[in-house]
Amino acid sequence: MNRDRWWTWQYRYAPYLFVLPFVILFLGFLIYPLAWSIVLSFYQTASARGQQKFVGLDNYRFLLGDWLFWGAVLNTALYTLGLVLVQIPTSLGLALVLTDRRVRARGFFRFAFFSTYLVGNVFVAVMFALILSPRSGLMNRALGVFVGRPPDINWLGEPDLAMPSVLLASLWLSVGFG
Amino acid sequence: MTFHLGKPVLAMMGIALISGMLMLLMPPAPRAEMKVWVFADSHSNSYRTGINGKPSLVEQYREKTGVRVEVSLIAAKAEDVRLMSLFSSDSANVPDLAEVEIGSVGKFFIPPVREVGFLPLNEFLERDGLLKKMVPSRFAPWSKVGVIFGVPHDVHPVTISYRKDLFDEVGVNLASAKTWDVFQEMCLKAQGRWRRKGFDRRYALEMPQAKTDYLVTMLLQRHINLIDDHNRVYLNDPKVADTVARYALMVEGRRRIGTDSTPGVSLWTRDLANGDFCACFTPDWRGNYIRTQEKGLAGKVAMMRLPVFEEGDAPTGTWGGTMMGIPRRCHNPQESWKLLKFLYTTPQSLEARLKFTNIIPPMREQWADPMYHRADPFFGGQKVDELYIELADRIPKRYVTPFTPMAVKSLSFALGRAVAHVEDHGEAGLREVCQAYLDRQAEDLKKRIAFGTFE
Repeated sequence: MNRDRWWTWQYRYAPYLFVLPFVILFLGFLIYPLAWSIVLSFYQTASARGQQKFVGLDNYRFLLGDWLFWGAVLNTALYTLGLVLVQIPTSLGLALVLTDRRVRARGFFRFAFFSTYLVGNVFVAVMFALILSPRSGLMNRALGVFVGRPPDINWLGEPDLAMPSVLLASLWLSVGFG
Repeated sequence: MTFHLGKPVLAMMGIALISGMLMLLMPPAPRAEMKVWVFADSHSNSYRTGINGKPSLVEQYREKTGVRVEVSLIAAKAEDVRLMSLFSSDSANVPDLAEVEIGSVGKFFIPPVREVGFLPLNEFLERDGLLKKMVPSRFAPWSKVGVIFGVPHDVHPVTISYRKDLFDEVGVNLASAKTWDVFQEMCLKAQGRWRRKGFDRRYALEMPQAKTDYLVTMLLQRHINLIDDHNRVYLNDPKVADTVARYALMVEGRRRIGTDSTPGVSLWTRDLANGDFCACFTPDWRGNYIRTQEKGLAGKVAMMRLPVFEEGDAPTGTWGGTMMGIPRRCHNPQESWKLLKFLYTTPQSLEARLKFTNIIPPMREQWADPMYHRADPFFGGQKVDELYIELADRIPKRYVTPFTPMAVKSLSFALGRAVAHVEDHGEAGLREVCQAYLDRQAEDLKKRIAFGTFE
């Protein structure tokens, strides 16, 4: 192969070679298992040793009639909606404020607001569980300053308060980045 | 010399080459003939670490049999996923022994008995007399329709540990309460006196409003499993509704005696030390946490049996647990069984257990060890291990099925409803509300069981 043909060959095939590792991993670890799970979803099976029984759409019928499934869908929708509706305006407002030349120590505040994004989800979960705990949590103690005695509000345990509490934690994590 | 990708890349390639060659030249670690998977740090230490100048348990086993054993400490979740994957793919690449936690074991029982990934152990247990030597009710969590798939590591009887100093201060003898009604009365009396002394936020008992560990223990006291090992549902048994209602009245409303502890690993011991609550449920492993983490409480705490709801109830329940099982496809089940017995039933294993976990073993003959009969200065000279041993033989059967976590979730929903009802309406109509809700949940659970059973 002379030099010109070698360069032509490279020019034509190099992009494919570059994306090949990703494509192989993507097909092997995402597409294949995904396709196989879809196939398996039409069967009933309990173990590798047992027989697979084709049940058609039965698994989907059960899922669609399951109140827990719809509860999870509703919660996810509410969470997403709440997060997007609050996070985008808040982040935009913060961005506007922090680009204003009249604000002093902008670098510090930018770092402070962005730094929450650098901590992991597990850290946030543990930290907010402590902040929102009914007896010793900072939230109730802070409220106690205004009402005279720390209330015993179970932020994560009360059904009406759990979603806003989780949203609060998510906002704390992502508002500086969003 | 020049390198067209630059010196840093050259340096990295050089380091990779040298370290790769070193790896190749290093002698490989001797391969173990047997593998054991565990998820608990303390269990791993008790098998792998030397005791009082003697070699570790696995070393002793090697000296005795010539078989090299490797103990791998794997995070519980990771171990579950690996075992489930290996069992689901019928792989032979399984460990020779694996420990599984009681909260995880249910899912391994999804397949029909003949297809469960663990080996049935009834014959082994019978042959070696372990069925009689161990606490019989402790085989229940590790069984499916009478077939036993694991040997229990523990019994975990539950007691109440309480701040004797704080209760004595207000003239309340908590240990004299034999029923939950009397217990609640005494706690209310103590709380009233603490309030007068200025302790506005001190409660008598740690008692979570949303979590169900305490509630499940109380139900076990009344001999109720939400689902038994034949998948029969007892979620809407009238006793369940009654217990949920009584529990709700202990954590909410004007007769409240319970509060949540601070979330986080073992922060509850701090709450006890601070006097935020003055009593808590203590299976043996939790008792050990108090002893090791709150040394300042030495001499200030005491332990008592659980009060009962009515005659015939057990004065204890059980909370937590671990089994060791033999994967069906392991290379030599007889060898695995030999190792299992060595790790769980020998005097050497008891020595390691006493050193690293101090958990009451399920083997009754080991209870004769003098260590279990000494006065415990931490508990004011009380012989607390003797109390645990006395209760160990009286723990009710606890079953775990693939549907138990779902049933516990339903129980948690019911508790949430009950607490909200007490908050809004007090005690009026509480039992009826609980019963109606549990009836609906039980119907739902039965549908799920019918759909997800593979027999």
